[in-house]
Amino acid sequence: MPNKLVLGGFDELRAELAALPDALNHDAEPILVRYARATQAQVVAAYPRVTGKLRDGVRVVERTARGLATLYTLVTSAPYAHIYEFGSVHQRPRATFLPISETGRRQAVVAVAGMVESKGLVVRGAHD
Amino acid sequence: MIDATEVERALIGKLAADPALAAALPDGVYYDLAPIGSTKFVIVSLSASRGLYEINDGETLRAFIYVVKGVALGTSSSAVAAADKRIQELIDRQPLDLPPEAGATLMVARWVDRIRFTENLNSDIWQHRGARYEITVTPA
Repeated sequence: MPNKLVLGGFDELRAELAALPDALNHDAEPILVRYARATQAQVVAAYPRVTGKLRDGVRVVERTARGLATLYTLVTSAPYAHIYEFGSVHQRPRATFLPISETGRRQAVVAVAGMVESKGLVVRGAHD
Repeated sequence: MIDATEVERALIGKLAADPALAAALPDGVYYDLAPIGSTKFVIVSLSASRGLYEINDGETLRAFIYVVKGVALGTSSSAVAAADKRIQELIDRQPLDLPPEAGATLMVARWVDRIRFTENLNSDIWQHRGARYEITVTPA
């Protein structure tokens, strides 16, 4: 009598794997929005209020990449934001946007990784 | 204990001791601001820093991100371009001699991202060019 090994559930597994990116993207979105807004608020609070252009120029830009993922990019758009950040001839650099936004991005990555792991998946290198 | 001041001192010292960099920007290498009257100089400034607090309560490594840029008066960017190239040769994936007082040894020194802009200051044109560099150290 021939031995026969039957493994079932492949179709269901395939369907779940196919749906995984959409499901993860859907769950990651509110996390990313929360961190983007919180980081935006931190940058705004750290900028001085003189003309208000530095603070007013901090925006969260949302766009969808190739229909797969939604990206949230924090930008600082005041015309002299780079001089504030990197210094002028007579004013020292005042690192503000980059350190705060980089910290916010790392925290967002860790939070999203936590969400992904909560689904039973393994995430490596999420600390950076 | 890692002494970040000594790390900065070693970085500035390495840049200041380099003849090729001094030939391009002869007024010196300074932290944050150059003396009034300087027209060709290098600025080093801390942009960001962090530890990996997930590991060993943050005592495993420290990463310092420095702005290192050349600054020169004039419309020509040849001096800052030469300095930018030389700074990269000196720092990016190169050793950095840290004294015992630093309490640290170098893990990696590397280029992070580019800085380039022109400043119009009272009708004087200034060239700024360089990069941010990561200097990551671990306790000695």
